[in-house]
Amino acid sequence: MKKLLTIIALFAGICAFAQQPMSEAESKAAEQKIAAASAAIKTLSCDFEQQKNVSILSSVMTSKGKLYYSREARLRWQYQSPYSYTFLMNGDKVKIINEKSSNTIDTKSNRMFKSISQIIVSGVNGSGVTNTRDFAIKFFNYDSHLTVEMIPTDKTLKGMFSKIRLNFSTQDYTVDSVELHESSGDVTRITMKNKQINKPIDEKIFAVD
Amino acid sequence: MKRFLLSISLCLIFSGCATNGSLGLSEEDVLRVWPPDAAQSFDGQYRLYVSIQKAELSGICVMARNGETIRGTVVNEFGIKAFDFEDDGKRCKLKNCMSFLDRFFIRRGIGSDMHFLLRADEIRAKRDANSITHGKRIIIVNAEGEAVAECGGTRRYTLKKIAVNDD
Repeated sequence: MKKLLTIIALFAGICAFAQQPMSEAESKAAEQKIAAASAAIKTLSCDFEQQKNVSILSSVMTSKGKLYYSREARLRWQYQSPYSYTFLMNGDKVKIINEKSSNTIDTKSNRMFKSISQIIVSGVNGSGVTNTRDFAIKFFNYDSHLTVEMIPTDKTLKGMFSKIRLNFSTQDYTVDSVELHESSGDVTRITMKNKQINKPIDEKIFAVD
Repeated sequence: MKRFLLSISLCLIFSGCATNGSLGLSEEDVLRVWPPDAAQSFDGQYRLYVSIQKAELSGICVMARNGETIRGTVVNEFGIKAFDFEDDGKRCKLKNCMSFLDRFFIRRGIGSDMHFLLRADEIRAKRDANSITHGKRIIIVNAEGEAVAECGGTRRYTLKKIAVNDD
């Protein structure tokens, strides 16, 4: 029994240590590394896998696709399986293409789409870690990841997420995965794979009109 | 004032006072009535399109039947939840609604439409080879295998099962 309690105490200690937020100085240093890596990203393309845990059914939905990003704000977020859906962003314009139709939206007049676009771009290029206007931000150090936890302070975002986690590689300080936590307990985890940084991307794929 | 007018317009939409409109489907399109087989499971993922007047939304509906109860969730393509639902055979209740849907009349309106979608074979509805009609609601399955439900003439729901590979 004593041995078991020791093991539990040690395990709890390890967990508490692993989830310890960074100090202010460490956070500042991490922020600078991410900002430097983000500034160096001119283009990014990768595959992604999205896993959504559905708490009401205790099941997981998986979807896959491709992502293309080009600075400043050009993004093609393309789901390929099991459904087809493309979220295309070019500056203030967003185009959504699904199996039935396509629709162009001006994010200036649609706050929710503006928020979603900002979250996606900030997740892709890491710029979100400096957005203290809409989020309370904390940095954590895990084994192979640097995690930035963003708690929404903006009312619109609060209605959508309880927190957002950006997990950065400690190798190149680019985003490896994004976790979207909803207040209902559901979590969506988007993992980037086969990242290609600063390889040429045909600008035509970002055409909105 | 803008919010007040929006609430009024949504209230009118969900009060279901309009008449049935045409689904725009020819009789040749229609193969069978939803659900195709009462014994067939609803379990799985569905592509969902919702059209409310001029507004159109798309997403994914995941559901599973456990005994008499059908539970599920509706999320957008990014995985962000619009609402969860639970239908016990008598009514369909919406839970964990996204803030802009979290109004009593919207929950009740969508819940009522969802109940019709899920229980069309069980309710005392008028059936023929092409459609099931119940009050101001009608459901048709077209040649693409989509269930198209028009409710109150202002709301249209299109559901199509997604083939999911577990690789």
